[in-house]
Amino acid sequence: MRPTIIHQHKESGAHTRRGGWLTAEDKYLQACYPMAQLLDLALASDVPQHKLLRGTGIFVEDLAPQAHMNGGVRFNIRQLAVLADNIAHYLPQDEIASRWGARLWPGYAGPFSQALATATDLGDFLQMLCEFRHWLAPGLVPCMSQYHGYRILHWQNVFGLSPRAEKLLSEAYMTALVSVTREQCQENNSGWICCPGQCDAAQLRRMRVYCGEETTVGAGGCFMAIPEAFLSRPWAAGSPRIRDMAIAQAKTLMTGIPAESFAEQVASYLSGRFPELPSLSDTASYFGVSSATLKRYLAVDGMRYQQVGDQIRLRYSLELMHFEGGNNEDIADALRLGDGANFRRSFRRWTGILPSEAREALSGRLPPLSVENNEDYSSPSYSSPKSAQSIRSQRQ
Amino acid sequence: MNSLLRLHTQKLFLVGSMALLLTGLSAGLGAPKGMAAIDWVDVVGEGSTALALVVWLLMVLRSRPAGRVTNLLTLGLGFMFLAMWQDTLDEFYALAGTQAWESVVESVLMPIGLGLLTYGLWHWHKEQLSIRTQLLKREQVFRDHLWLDGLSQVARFEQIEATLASDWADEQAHQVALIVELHDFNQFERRYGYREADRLLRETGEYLILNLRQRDLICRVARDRLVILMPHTRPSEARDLAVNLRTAVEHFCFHLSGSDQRVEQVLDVGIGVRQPMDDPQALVKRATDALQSAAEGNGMSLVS
Repeated sequence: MRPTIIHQHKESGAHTRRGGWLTAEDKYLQACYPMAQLLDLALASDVPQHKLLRGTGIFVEDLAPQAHMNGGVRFNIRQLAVLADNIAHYLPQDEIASRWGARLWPGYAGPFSQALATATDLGDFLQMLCEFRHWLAPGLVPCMSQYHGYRILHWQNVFGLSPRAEKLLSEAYMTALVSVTREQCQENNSGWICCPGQCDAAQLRRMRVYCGEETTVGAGGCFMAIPEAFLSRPWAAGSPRIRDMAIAQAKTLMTGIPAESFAEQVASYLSGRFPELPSLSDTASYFGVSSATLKRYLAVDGMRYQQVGDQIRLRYSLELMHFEGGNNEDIADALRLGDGANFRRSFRRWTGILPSEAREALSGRLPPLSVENNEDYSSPSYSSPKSAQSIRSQRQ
Repeated sequence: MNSLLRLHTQKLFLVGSMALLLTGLSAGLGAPKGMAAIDWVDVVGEGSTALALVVWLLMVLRSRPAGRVTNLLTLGLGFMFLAMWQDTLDEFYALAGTQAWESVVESVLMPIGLGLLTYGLWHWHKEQLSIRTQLLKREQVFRDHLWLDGLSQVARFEQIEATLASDWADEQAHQVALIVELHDFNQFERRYGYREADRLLRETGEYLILNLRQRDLICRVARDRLVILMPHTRPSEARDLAVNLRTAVEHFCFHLSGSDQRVEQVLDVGIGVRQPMDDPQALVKRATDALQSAAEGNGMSLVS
């Protein structure tokens, strides 16, 4: 089944109401959702519990059965981020992220997991993953695009997670997607390329065991390239009827909880204007607030306006670089960054490495794949900018 | 309190009460020196030595179970501490020349302590040699406690890297590298959970160690992937040994906790053979490629 666009980009100002977006401080994640699995793994280690839970505001009593009465204790993304950061700090050598990921999905998140478990194929699965992203992959936002037979899945940090927490969560979610596909498809994920951003030799070795030998470090971003052919292979436990029932149930659980964070809304707006980067005041007036208020709303999630714009530009430059074979001049042109040297400087500021180093990491590893349907696909609310082809035709 | 330290409360009580007794005797029988008469350089020198001895004593007790070697080390360090403690007290209390016990404590306890510590260390050395025999297949020639893997109790991959780097010049030393994995471990972990998966990893690791030769080295990369180095072994011999390992794991009986259900295991083995221009990473990569074709094929593959 070919995925379809779930949410269209919103141009109306209805979503600009104060409180109409999800923040890292909103307590909406039930304890039995992915958090309990992560806590199980972390608390089984030798590190004292008080160190792992320091600053999280989580108490082990929150996970006791009686705590689940009357709706149970709920956590927010900030608590997950602090927990992930503590785990990465105290247990840097452990495989907690990968092990958590290996059993994360479909998982134990009630109707959300039931919907995942009955996905008919990977395309269907990814569509649900994007829709229920804040429940199934809290902390990071999956963002999809499509190039030359690959479905590209970026994991975006829109809640201002620390680098350690971001690394742990991205490792877990990449492992989770590989693991669930291997189980449901009953075959190896050959041809998938996972790029976990910057990581040390031990983490790379570990990820190669969990996510496949093609896992590569230093490609400039945190993304996965999945051959499109995998998306339509039928999954063993697929059942459209049960899936639809589970989705309907899941949506009732989401009632009253905003579907997007403010940074996602800003990113949607900026993506719509791409490759122009509207000024802060223009964006603020679109959202009907002052520049200071917009900055304050973003700061609640630990984000800055420039950071949101840079994430979009980095994502797009990575796609052009790795999947379109664009050189520095091409990309600078497409991003309206002036010349190649400017792009080189910007890329280094975003990633800490040079574009040539990023190219080298994936050199010759992403041959264009033939696909029957090359229709452009962009992910839900946090949509990818316009396709490379459209940008090029604009330039011409 | 640390669980091992709890085993040694009597010893700590004995040393502590003797130190208090000496303090009481010095205070009771001697006259306090005036501030001007105290030699602070001596106080710092002797006091810090006594303090260091107490810290060593606690470290030894915190890391050892009870037994003869522990008793000897405790007595040795304890006597040395008491001698230094009395030496420090001297600086604060002036004892009359008739108080012979004071010089006995200082002069006799120290050599007795040193003698007992030396005797204890000799026994500790013998104990280490026997532990070393047990650890041989997990560490061979290098030891670094940071390399010990908490999950499977075998060393981590760094041990393999260090071993290969040190022996690489000898082309006959490591002609082959084996990488093994349990077939469908991922499914096992998803179905039975982390605790059972941990137990399976631990038991499989122990079981493989039992089936290896004395000179072989086994380490864990991640999840259930283990690397085995077989020094001075030809590829044909390695293949025979790999067949033995696979057969052994087929007969390995893993029972799930709290039930009689037995889960059978199959071992996938990839054997990489060293080529003339290889570096250690290339050998491991070749073994990994072999493992991938083994997992997709009949469970065993050799890539040269």
